[in-house]
Amino acid sequence: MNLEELAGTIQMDLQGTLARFGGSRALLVRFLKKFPQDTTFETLKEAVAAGDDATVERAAHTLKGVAANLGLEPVRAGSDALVTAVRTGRQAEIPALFETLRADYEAAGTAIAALAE
Amino acid sequence: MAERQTILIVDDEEINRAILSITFGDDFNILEAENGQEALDCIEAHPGQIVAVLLDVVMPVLDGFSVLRELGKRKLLEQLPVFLITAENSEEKLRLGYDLGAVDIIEKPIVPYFIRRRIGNVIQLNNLVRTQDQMLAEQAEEIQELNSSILETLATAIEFRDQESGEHVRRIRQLTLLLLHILMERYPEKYHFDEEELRLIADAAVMHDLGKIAIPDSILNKPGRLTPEEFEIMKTHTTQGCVLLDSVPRLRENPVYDYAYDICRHHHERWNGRGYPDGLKGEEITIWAQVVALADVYDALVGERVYKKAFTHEKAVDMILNGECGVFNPDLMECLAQSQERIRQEFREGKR
Repeated sequence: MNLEELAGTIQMDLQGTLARFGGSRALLVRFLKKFPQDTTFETLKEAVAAGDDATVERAAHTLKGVAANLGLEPVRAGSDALVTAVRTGRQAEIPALFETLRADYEAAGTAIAALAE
Repeated sequence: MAERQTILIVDDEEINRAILSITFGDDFNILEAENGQEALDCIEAHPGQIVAVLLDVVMPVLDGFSVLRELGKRKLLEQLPVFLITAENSEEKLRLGYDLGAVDIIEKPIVPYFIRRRIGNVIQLNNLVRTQDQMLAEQAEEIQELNSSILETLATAIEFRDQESGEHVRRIRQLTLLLLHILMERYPEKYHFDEEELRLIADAAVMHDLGKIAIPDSILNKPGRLTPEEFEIMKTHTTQGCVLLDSVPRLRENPVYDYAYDICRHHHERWNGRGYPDGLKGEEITIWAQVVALADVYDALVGERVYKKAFTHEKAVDMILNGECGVFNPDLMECLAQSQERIRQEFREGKR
Protein backbone atom coordinates (compact mmCIF):
# COMPACT_ATOMS: atom_id res chain seq x y z
CA MET A 1 0.00 0.00 0.00
CA ASN A 2 1.25 3.50 -0.75
CA LEU A 3 0.33 6.72 1.01
CA GLU A 4 -2.45 7.61 -1.44
CA GLU A 5 -4.08 4.22 -0.93
CA LEU A 6 -3.73 4.53 2.85
CA ALA A 7 -5.24 8.01 2.77
CA GLY A 8 -8.22 6.69 0.81
CA THR A 9 -8.73 3.78 3.24
CA ILE A 10 -8.69 5.77 6.49
CA GLN A 11 -9.89 9.26 5.46
CA MET A 12 -6.54 11.05 5.72
CA ASP A 13 -6.06 14.56 4.34
CA LEU A 14 -2.81 13.57 2.68
CA GLN A 15 -1.78 17.03 1.46
CA GLY A 16 -2.39 18.75 4.77
CA THR A 17 -0.59 15.98 6.63
CA LEU A 18 2.40 15.93 4.29
CA ALA A 19 2.78 19.67 4.75
CA ARG A 20 3.41 19.05 8.46
CA PHE A 21 6.41 16.93 7.48
CA GLY A 22 7.87 19.54 5.19
CA GLY A 23 6.44 17.60 2.23
CA SER A 24 8.61 14.59 3.03
CA ARG A 25 6.76 11.31 2.32
CA ALA A 26 9.58 9.33 3.94
CA LEU A 27 9.26 11.28 7.18
CA LEU A 28 5.48 10.87 7.26
CA VAL A 29 5.82 7.12 6.69
CA ARG A 30 8.43 6.89 9.43
CA PHE A 31 6.19 8.57 11.99
CA LEU A 32 3.09 6.65 10.88
CA LYS A 33 5.06 3.43 11.46
CA LYS A 34 5.84 4.63 14.97
CA PHE A 35 2.22 5.36 15.79
CA PRO A 36 1.17 1.77 16.74
CA GLN A 37 4.11 1.62 19.18
CA ASP A 38 2.88 4.63 21.13
CA THR A 39 1.59 3.50 24.55
CA THR A 40 -1.12 6.15 24.87
CA PHE A 41 -3.83 3.89 23.45
CA GLU A 42 -2.93 1.12 25.93
CA THR A 43 -3.12 3.61 28.80
CA LEU A 44 -6.52 4.73 27.55
CA LYS A 45 -7.81 1.14 27.27
CA GLU A 46 -6.78 0.32 30.84
CA ALA A 47 -8.26 3.55 32.18
CA VAL A 48 -11.60 2.85 30.45
CA ALA A 49 -11.65 -0.67 31.95
CA ALA A 50 -10.82 0.72 35.42
CA GLY A 51 -13.31 3.58 35.18
CA ASP A 52 -10.47 6.09 35.83
CA ASP A 53 -12.02 9.19 34.29
CA ALA A 54 -9.10 11.53 34.84
CA THR A 55 -6.72 9.21 33.00
CA VAL A 56 -9.29 8.59 30.26
CA GLU A 57 -9.51 12.33 29.69
CA ARG A 58 -5.76 12.86 29.74
CA ALA A 59 -4.88 9.87 27.50
CA ALA A 60 -7.70 10.60 25.04
CA HIS A 61 -6.52 14.20 24.87
CA THR A 62 -2.95 13.15 24.11
CA LEU A 63 -4.10 10.61 21.51
CA LYS A 64 -6.24 13.30 19.90
CA GLY A 65 -3.24 15.59 19.48
CA VAL A 66 -1.01 12.94 17.97
CA ALA A 67 -3.73 11.60 15.67
CA ALA A 68 -4.53 15.14 14.55
CA ASN A 69 -0.92 15.84 13.60
CA LEU A 70 -0.63 12.48 11.79
CA GLY A 71 -3.81 13.09 9.84
CA LEU A 72 -5.62 10.09 11.37
CA GLU A 73 -8.98 11.82 11.34
CA PRO A 74 -11.28 9.06 12.67
CA VAL A 75 -8.90 8.41 15.60
CA ARG A 76 -8.78 12.14 16.33
CA ALA A 77 -12.58 12.43 16.23
CA GLY A 78 -13.05 9.33 18.42
CA SER A 79 -10.57 10.61 21.02
CA ASP A 80 -12.23 14.01 21.02
CA ALA A 81 -15.60 12.38 21.68
CA LEU A 82 -14.14 10.59 24.73
CA VAL A 83 -12.64 13.80 26.14
CA THR A 84 -15.98 15.54 25.74
CA ALA A 85 -17.90 12.66 27.33
CA VAL A 86 -15.74 12.79 30.46
CA ARG A 87 -15.95 16.55 30.70
CA THR A 88 -19.70 16.71 30.28
CA GLY A 89 -20.30 13.93 32.79
CA ARG A 90 -21.63 11.40 30.25
CA GLN A 91 -19.65 8.50 31.71
CA ALA A 92 -22.27 5.96 30.59
CA GLU A 93 -21.34 6.59 26.96
CA ILE A 94 -17.64 5.94 27.47
CA PRO A 95 -17.59 2.16 26.76
CA ALA A 96 -19.50 2.52 23.49
CA LEU A 97 -17.39 5.52 22.40
CA PHE A 98 -14.26 3.58 23.23
CA GLU A 99 -15.40 0.62 21.08
CA THR A 100 -15.87 2.96 18.10
CA LEU A 101 -12.42 4.45 18.71
CA ARG A 102 -10.89 0.98 19.04
CA ALA A 103 -12.29 -0.01 15.64
CA ASP A 104 -10.84 3.13 14.00
CA TYR A 105 -7.54 2.74 15.85
CA GLU A 106 -7.22 -0.87 14.67
CA ALA A 107 -8.17 0.05 11.10
CA ALA A 108 -5.44 2.71 11.13
CA GLY A 109 -2.97 0.15 12.56
CA THR A 110 -3.82 -2.39 9.84
CA ALA A 111 -3.44 0.20 7.08
CA ILE A 112 -0.15 1.45 8.50
CA ALA A 113 1.20 -2.09 8.77
CA ALA A 114 0.42 -2.60 5.09
CA LEU A 115 2.16 0.63 4.15
CA ALA A 116 5.30 0.14 2.04
CA GLU A 117 8.38 1.79 3.60
CA MET B 1 19.07 39.39 12.56
CA ALA B 2 21.89 37.53 10.95
CA GLU B 3 22.29 35.09 13.79
CA ARG B 4 19.85 32.20 14.08
CA GLN B 5 17.62 32.55 17.08
CA THR B 6 16.47 29.73 19.31
CA ILE B 7 13.00 28.41 20.06
CA LEU B 8 12.04 25.82 22.65
CA ILE B 9 9.57 23.06 21.77
CA VAL B 10 7.85 21.33 24.69
CA ASP B 11 5.70 18.23 24.15
CA ASP B 12 5.73 14.75 25.65
CA GLU B 13 4.94 13.16 22.28
CA GLU B 14 7.94 12.75 19.99
CA ILE B 15 5.81 13.06 16.87
CA ASN B 16 4.49 16.44 17.93
CA ARG B 17 7.99 17.70 18.71
CA ALA B 18 9.24 16.36 15.38
CA ILE B 19 6.55 18.15 13.40
CA LEU B 20 7.26 21.49 15.07
CA SER B 21 10.97 20.92 14.70
CA ILE B 22 10.55 20.34 10.96
CA THR B 23 8.33 23.41 10.69
CA PHE B 24 10.83 25.75 12.36
CA GLY B 25 14.14 23.98 11.84
CA ASP B 26 15.05 25.87 8.67
CA ASP B 27 14.94 29.25 10.36
CA PHE B 28 15.70 28.62 14.03
CA ASN B 29 17.87 26.63 16.36
CA ILE B 30 15.62 24.15 18.13
CA LEU B 31 15.67 23.06 21.76
CA GLU B 32 13.33 20.29 22.88
CA ALA B 33 11.85 19.35 26.23
CA GLU B 34 9.57 16.41 27.07
CA ASN B 35 7.67 17.92 29.97
CA GLY B 36 7.10 21.16 31.85
CA GLN B 37 9.90 20.63 34.34
CA GLU B 38 12.45 20.01 31.57
CA ALA B 39 11.17 23.14 29.87
CA LEU B 40 11.77 25.28 32.97
CA ASP B 41 15.24 23.77 33.41
CA CYS B 42 16.01 24.49 29.76
CA ILE B 43 14.82 28.09 30.01
CA GLU B 44 16.96 28.58 33.08
CA ALA B 45 19.98 27.06 31.34
CA HIS B 46 19.65 29.39 28.33
CA PRO B 47 18.90 32.80 29.82
CA GLY B 48 18.01 35.42 27.23
CA GLN B 49 18.65 33.04 24.33
CA ILE B 50 15.18 31.64 23.68
CA VAL B 51 12.90 33.86 21.59
CA ALA B 52 9.72 31.74 21.79
CA VAL B 53 8.36 28.71 23.64
CA LEU B 54 5.97 26.32 21.90
CA LEU B 55 4.24 24.63 24.79
CA ASP B 56 1.95 21.59 24.93
CA VAL B 57 -0.68 21.66 27.68
CA VAL B 58 -1.27 18.06 28.81
CA MET B 59 2.07 16.56 29.85
CA PRO B 60 3.38 14.34 32.63
CA VAL B 61 5.44 15.71 35.56
CA LEU B 62 4.46 19.36 34.99
CA ASP B 63 1.78 20.51 32.56
CA GLY B 64 1.74 23.57 30.33
CA PHE B 65 -0.49 25.68 32.60
CA SER B 66 1.91 25.11 35.50
CA VAL B 67 4.82 26.18 33.30
CA LEU B 68 2.96 29.40 32.43
CA ARG B 69 2.23 30.05 36.11
CA GLU B 70 5.87 29.49 37.05
CA LEU B 71 7.19 31.71 34.24
CA GLY B 72 4.71 34.39 35.31
CA LYS B 73 5.95 34.15 38.88
CA ARG B 74 9.53 34.51 37.65
CA LYS B 75 8.48 37.59 35.62
CA LEU B 76 9.79 35.99 32.43
CA LEU B 77 6.65 36.21 30.31
CA GLU B 78 7.30 39.81 29.32
CA GLN B 79 10.45 38.97 27.39
CA LEU B 80 9.61 35.39 26.49
CA PRO B 81 6.54 34.81 24.31
CA VAL B 82 4.86 31.46 25.05
CA PHE B 83 2.52 29.81 22.54
CA LEU B 84 0.27 26.98 23.63
CA ILE B 85 0.13 24.27 20.99
CA THR B 86 -2.75 22.07 22.00
CA ALA B 87 -5.54 19.71 20.94
CA GLU B 88 -7.66 21.57 23.48
CA ASN B 89 -10.96 23.01 22.31
CA SER B 90 -12.76 23.77 25.55
CA GLU B 91 -13.31 27.51 25.69
CA GLU B 92 -12.73 27.59 29.43
CA LYS B 93 -9.27 26.06 29.13
CA LEU B 94 -8.26 28.22 26.17
CA ARG B 95 -9.31 31.26 28.18
CA LEU B 96 -7.21 30.06 31.12
CA GLY B 97 -4.21 29.80 28.78
CA TYR B 98 -4.55 33.43 27.69
CA ASP B 99 -5.21 34.57 31.26
CA LEU B 100 -2.00 32.89 32.42
CA GLY B 101 -0.06 34.87 29.86
CA ALA B 102 0.15 32.79 26.67
CA VAL B 103 0.66 35.09 23.67
CA ASP B 104 -1.41 32.88 21.40
CA ILE B 105 -2.98 29.44 21.35
CA ILE B 106 -2.56 27.25 18.29
CA GLU B 107 -4.68 24.17 17.78
CA LYS B 108 -3.45 20.76 16.78
CA PRO B 109 -3.27 19.63 14.05
CA ILE B 110 -0.92 22.45 13.18
CA VAL B 111 -0.81 23.96 9.70
CA PRO B 112 2.90 24.73 9.12
CA TYR B 113 2.42 27.80 6.93
CA PHE B 114 0.08 29.51 9.39
CA ILE B 115 1.98 28.58 12.52
CA ARG B 116 5.22 29.91 10.99
CA ARG B 117 3.46 33.18 10.24
CA ARG B 118 1.76 33.56 13.60
CA ILE B 119 4.85 32.79 15.65
CA GLY B 120 7.27 34.48 13.27
CA ASN B 121 5.33 37.75 13.44
CA VAL B 122 5.55 37.87 17.22
CA ILE B 123 9.26 37.03 17.21
CA GLN B 124 9.94 39.72 14.60
CA LEU B 125 8.02 42.31 16.56
CA ASN B 126 9.89 41.37 19.73
CA ASN B 127 13.21 41.62 17.89
CA LEU B 128 12.28 45.10 16.76
CA VAL B 129 11.31 46.17 20.27
CA ARG B 130 14.53 44.73 21.66
CA THR B 131 16.67 46.54 19.08
CA GLN B 132 14.92 49.80 19.79
CA ASP B 133 15.20 49.35 23.56
CA GLN B 134 18.91 48.82 23.11
CA MET B 135 19.22 51.92 20.94
CA LEU B 136 17.33 53.99 23.47
CA ALA B 137 19.54 52.75 26.30
CA GLU B 138 22.67 53.57 24.28
CA GLN B 139 21.39 57.04 23.48
CA ALA B 140 20.46 57.66 27.10
CA GLU B 141 23.94 56.64 28.12
CA GLU B 142 25.51 58.94 25.52
CA ILE B 143 23.42 61.84 26.77
CA GLN B 144 24.46 61.12 30.35
CA GLU B 145 28.11 60.95 29.40
CA LEU B 146 27.83 64.20 27.49
CA ASN B 147 26.05 65.73 30.46
CA SER B 148 28.81 64.64 32.83
CA SER B 149 31.57 65.87 30.57
CA ILE B 150 29.90 69.28 30.13
CA LEU B 151 29.72 69.59 33.90
CA GLU B 152 33.35 68.58 34.21
CA THR B 153 34.41 71.08 31.60
CA LEU B 154 32.56 73.83 33.41
CA ALA B 155 33.99 72.87 36.78
CA THR B 156 37.49 72.57 35.33
CA ALA B 157 37.24 76.02 33.78
CA ILE B 158 36.43 77.40 37.21
CA GLU B 159 39.25 75.46 38.88
CA PHE B 160 41.72 76.93 36.40
CA ARG B 161 41.30 80.27 38.07
CA ASP B 162 42.82 79.10 41.32
CA GLN B 163 45.73 77.40 39.54
CA GLU B 164 44.15 73.97 39.74
CA SER B 165 44.26 71.60 36.86
CA GLY B 166 41.29 69.49 35.84
CA GLU B 167 42.77 66.71 37.97
CA HIS B 168 41.18 68.02 41.14
CA VAL B 169 37.74 67.77 39.56
CA ARG B 170 38.34 64.22 38.40
CA ARG B 171 39.83 63.18 41.74
CA ILE B 172 36.89 64.59 43.69
CA ARG B 173 34.58 62.48 41.54
CA GLN B 174 36.66 59.35 42.12
CA LEU B 175 37.21 59.92 45.82
CA THR B 176 33.54 60.66 46.40
CA LEU B 177 32.49 57.47 44.64
CA LEU B 178 35.14 55.46 46.48
CA LEU B 179 34.08 56.80 49.89
CA LEU B 180 30.40 56.11 49.12
CA HIS B 181 31.24 52.54 48.16
CA ILE B 182 33.32 52.03 51.30
CA LEU B 183 30.44 53.41 53.40
CA MET B 184 27.99 50.98 51.80
CA GLU B 185 30.34 48.03 52.28
CA ARG B 186 31.08 48.89 55.89
CA TYR B 187 27.58 49.89 57.00
CA PRO B 188 25.24 48.13 54.57
CA GLU B 189 22.17 48.53 56.77
CA LYS B 190 22.80 52.23 57.23
CA TYR B 191 23.90 53.44 53.80
CA HIS B 192 22.66 52.46 50.41
CA PHE B 193 22.99 54.27 47.09
CA ASP B 194 21.77 52.82 43.80
CA GLU B 195 23.55 53.29 40.48
CA GLU B 196 21.47 56.32 39.54
CA GLU B 197 22.11 58.02 42.89
CA LEU B 198 25.85 57.38 42.69
CA ARG B 199 25.95 58.92 39.24
CA LEU B 200 24.03 62.01 40.36
CA ILE B 201 26.15 62.49 43.49
CA ALA B 202 29.37 62.11 41.48
CA ASP B 203 28.17 64.70 38.94
CA ALA B 204 27.12 67.02 41.74
CA ALA B 205 30.46 66.54 43.54
CA VAL B 206 32.25 67.82 40.46
CA MET B 207 30.36 71.10 40.82
CA HIS B 208 31.12 71.67 44.52
CA ASP B 209 33.30 74.76 43.95
CA LEU B 210 31.21 76.35 41.21
CA GLY B 211 30.77 79.45 43.38
CA LYS B 212 34.48 80.27 43.22
CA ILE B 213 33.74 81.96 39.89
CA ALA B 214 32.32 84.81 41.98
CA ILE B 215 35.42 85.21 44.19
CA PRO B 216 37.93 87.91 43.10
CA ASP B 217 41.35 86.73 41.88
CA SER B 218 43.06 88.77 44.59
CA ILE B 219 41.46 86.58 47.24
CA LEU B 220 41.26 83.30 45.37
CA ASN B 221 44.94 83.33 44.48
CA LYS B 222 46.38 85.18 47.46
CA PRO B 223 49.60 83.42 48.46
CA GLY B 224 49.51 84.38 52.15
CA ARG B 225 46.90 84.09 54.87
CA LEU B 226 43.51 85.65 54.19
CA THR B 227 42.41 88.48 56.42
CA PRO B 228 39.14 87.85 58.34
CA GLU B 229 37.31 90.07 55.84
CA GLU B 230 38.82 88.21 52.88
CA PHE B 231 37.94 84.88 54.47
CA GLU B 232 34.32 85.98 54.86
CA ILE B 233 34.24 86.68 51.13
CA MET B 234 35.95 83.37 50.37
CA LYS B 235 33.30 81.55 52.38
CA THR B 236 30.56 82.88 50.11
CA HIS B 237 31.71 80.57 47.30
CA THR B 238 29.32 78.03 48.83
CA THR B 239 26.22 80.20 48.57
CA GLN B 240 27.40 81.79 45.32
CA GLY B 241 27.47 78.29 43.84
CA CYS B 242 23.79 77.94 44.70
CA VAL B 243 23.02 81.32 43.13
CA LEU B 244 24.74 80.19 39.97
CA LEU B 245 22.82 76.89 39.91
CA ASP B 246 19.55 78.76 40.35
CA SER B 247 20.38 81.02 37.45
CA VAL B 248 20.57 78.12 34.99
CA PRO B 249 17.18 77.87 33.29
CA ARG B 250 15.34 74.62 33.99
CA LEU B 251 18.21 73.07 35.96
CA ARG B 252 15.79 72.63 38.85
CA GLU B 253 13.94 70.03 36.79
CA ASN B 254 17.11 67.97 36.50
CA PRO B 255 17.53 65.33 39.24
CA VAL B 256 21.15 66.43 39.70
CA TYR B 257 19.98 69.87 40.91
CA ASP B 258 19.07 68.87 44.47
CA TYR B 259 22.39 67.10 45.01
CA ALA B 260 24.38 69.88 43.37
CA TYR B 261 22.66 72.61 45.39
CA ASP B 262 23.18 70.71 48.63
CA ILE B 263 26.83 69.89 47.91
CA CYS B 264 27.71 73.43 46.74
CA ARG B 265 26.18 74.89 49.85
CA HIS B 266 27.24 72.35 52.46
CA HIS B 267 30.63 70.96 51.50
CA HIS B 268 32.24 73.16 54.18
CA GLU B 269 29.89 72.21 57.01
CA ARG B 270 31.37 70.14 59.85
CA TRP B 271 29.94 67.39 62.06
CA ASN B 272 30.21 69.55 65.22
CA GLY B 273 28.44 72.54 63.69
CA ARG B 274 31.62 74.62 63.29
CA GLY B 275 31.50 74.73 59.50
CA TYR B 276 29.84 77.22 57.17
CA PRO B 277 27.65 78.73 55.78
CA ASP B 278 24.72 77.35 57.82
CA GLY B 279 26.52 75.82 60.79
CA LEU B 280 24.66 72.54 60.32
CA LYS B 281 25.41 69.78 62.82
CA GLY B 282 25.67 65.97 62.59
CA GLU B 283 23.02 64.38 60.46
CA GLU B 284 21.57 67.75 59.52
CA ILE B 285 24.28 67.56 56.86
CA THR B 286 23.47 65.02 54.15
CA ILE B 287 25.89 62.13 53.90
CA TRP B 288 26.86 63.08 50.32
CA ALA B 289 27.76 66.62 51.35
CA GLN B 290 29.82 65.12 54.18
CA VAL B 291 31.56 62.75 51.79
CA VAL B 292 32.43 65.53 49.32
CA ALA B 293 33.69 67.64 52.22
CA LEU B 294 36.05 64.87 53.27
CA ALA B 295 37.19 64.19 49.71
CA ASP B 296 37.81 67.92 49.20
CA VAL B 297 39.86 68.24 52.39
CA TYR B 298 41.92 65.16 51.60
CA ASP B 299 42.60 66.28 48.05
CA ALA B 300 43.56 69.78 49.19
CA LEU B 301 46.03 68.31 51.71
CA VAL B 302 47.81 65.97 49.31
CA GLY B 303 47.96 68.59 46.56
CA GLU B 304 50.05 71.74 46.34
CA ARG B 305 48.32 75.08 46.89
CA VAL B 306 49.45 78.70 46.59
CA TYR B 307 49.51 78.83 50.38
CA LYS B 308 51.01 75.37 51.14
CA LYS B 309 53.11 72.46 49.92
CA ALA B 310 51.72 68.97 49.28
CA PHE B 311 51.47 66.58 52.23
CA THR B 312 51.98 62.84 51.87
CA HIS B 313 48.98 60.54 51.94
CA GLU B 314 49.93 59.27 55.42
CA LYS B 315 50.33 62.78 56.80
CA ALA B 316 47.04 63.89 55.27
CA VAL B 317 45.14 60.94 56.76
CA ASP B 318 46.76 61.58 60.18
CA MET B 319 45.81 65.25 60.09
CA ILE B 320 42.19 64.47 59.23
CA LEU B 321 41.90 61.71 61.85
CA ASN B 322 43.43 64.09 64.46
CA GLY B 323 40.73 66.62 63.75
CA GLU B 324 43.10 69.23 62.34
CA CYS B 325 40.73 69.93 59.47
CA GLY B 326 37.53 70.00 61.45
CA VAL B 327 35.30 67.28 62.87
CA PHE B 328 33.81 64.65 60.59
CA ASN B 329 31.19 61.93 60.96
CA PRO B 330 32.66 59.03 63.01
CA ASP B 331 31.41 56.57 60.36
CA LEU B 332 33.47 58.40 57.74
CA MET B 333 36.52 58.51 60.03
CA GLU B 334 36.21 54.76 60.52
CA CYS B 335 36.06 54.29 56.73
CA LEU B 336 39.07 56.51 56.22
CA ALA B 337 41.09 54.77 58.94
CA GLN B 338 40.24 51.27 57.72
CA SER B 339 40.52 51.90 53.98
CA GLN B 340 43.64 54.11 53.87
CA GLU B 341 45.44 51.82 51.49
CA ARG B 342 42.58 51.64 49.01
CA ILE B 343 42.24 55.41 49.05
CA ARG B 344 45.96 55.89 48.55
CA GLN B 345 45.99 53.57 45.55
CA GLU B 346 42.89 55.05 44.00
CA PHE B 347 44.36 58.51 44.45
CA ARG B 348 47.61 57.52 42.76
CA GLU B 349 45.77 56.04 39.82
CA GLY B 350 43.66 59.16 39.58
CA LYS B 351 46.76 61.33 39.57
CA ARG B 352 48.22 59.79 36.45
